[in-house]
Amino acid sequence: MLTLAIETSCDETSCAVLKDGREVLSNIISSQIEIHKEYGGVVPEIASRKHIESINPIVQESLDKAGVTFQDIDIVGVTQGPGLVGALLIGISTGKALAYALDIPLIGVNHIEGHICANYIEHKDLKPPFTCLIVSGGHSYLVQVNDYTEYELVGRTIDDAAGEAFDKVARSLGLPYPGGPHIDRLAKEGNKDAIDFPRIMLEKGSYNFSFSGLKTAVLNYLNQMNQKDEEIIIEDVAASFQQAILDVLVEKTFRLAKERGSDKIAFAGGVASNEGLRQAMKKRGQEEGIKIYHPSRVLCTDNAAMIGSSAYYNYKSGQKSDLGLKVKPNLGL
Amino acid sequence: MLKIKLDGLEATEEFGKIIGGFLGSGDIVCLNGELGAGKTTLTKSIGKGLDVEEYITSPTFALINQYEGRVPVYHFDVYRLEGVEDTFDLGFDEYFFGEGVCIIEWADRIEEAIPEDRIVLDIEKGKEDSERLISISGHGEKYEQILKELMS
Amino acid sequence: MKVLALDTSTLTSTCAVISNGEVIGEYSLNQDMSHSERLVPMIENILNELKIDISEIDLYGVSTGPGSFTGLRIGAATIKGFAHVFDKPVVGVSTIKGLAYNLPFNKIVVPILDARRDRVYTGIYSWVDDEIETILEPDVMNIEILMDKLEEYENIVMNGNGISVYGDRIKDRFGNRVNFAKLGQNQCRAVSIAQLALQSFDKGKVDDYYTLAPEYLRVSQAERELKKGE
Repeated sequence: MLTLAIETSCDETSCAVLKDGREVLSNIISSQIEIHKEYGGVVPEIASRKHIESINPIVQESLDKAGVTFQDIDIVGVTQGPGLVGALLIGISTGKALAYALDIPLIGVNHIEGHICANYIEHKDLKPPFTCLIVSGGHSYLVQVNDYTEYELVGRTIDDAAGEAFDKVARSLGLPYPGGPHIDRLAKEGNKDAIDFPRIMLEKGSYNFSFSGLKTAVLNYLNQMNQKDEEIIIEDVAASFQQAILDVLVEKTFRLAKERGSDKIAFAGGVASNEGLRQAMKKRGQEEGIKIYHPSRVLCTDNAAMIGSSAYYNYKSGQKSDLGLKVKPNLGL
Repeated sequence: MLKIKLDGLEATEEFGKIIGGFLGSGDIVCLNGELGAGKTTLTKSIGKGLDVEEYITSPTFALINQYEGRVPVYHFDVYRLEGVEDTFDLGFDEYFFGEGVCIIEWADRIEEAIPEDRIVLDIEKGKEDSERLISISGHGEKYEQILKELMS
Repeated sequence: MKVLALDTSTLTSTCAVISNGEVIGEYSLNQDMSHSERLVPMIENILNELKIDISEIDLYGVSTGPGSFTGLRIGAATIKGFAHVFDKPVVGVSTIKGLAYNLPFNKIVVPILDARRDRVYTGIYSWVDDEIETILEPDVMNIEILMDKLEEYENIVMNGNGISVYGDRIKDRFGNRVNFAKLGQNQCRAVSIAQLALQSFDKGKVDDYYTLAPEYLRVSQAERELKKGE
């Protein structure tokens, strides 16, 4: 079964063709990051304008690369949300038009579920159930995945998403956007124990995340150092800050996994590219005897292949959307 | 212009809810204050006053978050637009002149793009950690109405 | 020759089908923006009623603005999707020209769409012989500036949603020299977009479904400087 998938929830226009949910025949991603750099991050209106300009060529490229035509496609999967409303609408409108024109099913996909499915593409042997951490610029979720289309949302951020905290701290350190990769790079050369930033766990037993207090702590630290005219060792700040985030992410993920008796943990989303996180998860996984999964870099960022995978599994479980599919910018799990 | 002292988190939440209760379609609230002043915290309470049930989180990443309350609520964080020359074509008008309530954090960074009729809340930290000093200023009917209600 | 056209630049969502020179169907809903989300079901509905399969459409037309940024993109994405699947020609038509086309045989036609902050999206058209000609290409400008430009004309006909906002000021200044269109011609109509698309196609001017995008009409540099200075 061939799935044509479209993903335009943020600042990447992506289109992919998949076979049977896990085999990626093409995954074309056109990133707008360079355009949004001037604004320190994505500007919804600009993202939307870029999407409408690039969507059709990207669709065609994904078909060409996969060596198929529109007529070979069996289902169309498109991100319904969450994300930027104007951006999502480009993908949704295109998806609806294609599905109607080809008279094939349309499946609206939850972007977060897409991130979870990125692991199915990367790891052919991965099957539910498992515990999953999804961390990106816009989202931080801790999920218990019971089946391909059955999830339990256990924890989420109550303020800043993890990736957002990275970007904000990076900005205050004078690093360019997107800041996450720069912090990751600098952290390798810094001392993670140099500064004691708070690890905010919230109330006992909570699986929710809160990163805004940590962000404030870093900013206060930088302010104080500036006022005292002391030198700021940027590598140490990066390392200590990153460690504070990782400690919280790893701790809560493993606590949930153990509570639910999961022998597998997967993580996904843009922050899943973070070397520090990958190493920390791997190490703890070895200590606890839990197998760790994460997607390759490309599949960590927003991409249509993961959406196609989710569309496939949803379709297989009997779900289908109608042509009046509504955009859901705040779609949760 | 009115200055109010809020001596704790609860008072701030109460205040936010009250403001939210007054707001309706087309209103614009500008929130200014330094990092950590509590703009997002105040927004959460204003959201409660607008019957928003979802978690209100920081829109720094997406620039604009939208929620469903009594009316649509558009939550802006334009922190990173400092120094941007041209804020006119960023598609904000559809929100500013739309059917919802706009709450804009760091509004002074895009001052010239915001319509005249607005309610401005400048937040300062007080002597104690949890104390906040809010200066309310603005322009327009809704602003006048809120000022009147708060003073009574 | 079958033409499918749509316009989602304003609150009105409208689609129309022309077949062999006749309008065989037109839907128009003018309530709220969510109609743009119902666009494909609307098209499916009209084509079903007409017993036409979408693959039979030979030419697509779509309004490319100015208007609501979101609405414009929904329309463009939809039409481009169809045109792409069937590899058919598509023509983008100015929303303003489409509005002017609702009022044939008037000497001077000036559509105005509210662009907020005392500004309008507008253009000036004239009907010469039996076709429409452009005197002023679509632009965005302060209503006072538009009115200054219209001083030289005697019989002006206007339509568009800008009338409900600026109509009184215009009537005050122009009195009998201006007439506002009746309800039937005041909104965007897909039939006008379809006719203009057909005209363009007949002249050999079509757009590329890969690159077709809305025209948002930038506020002029001068105006931006002005606003900053205020």
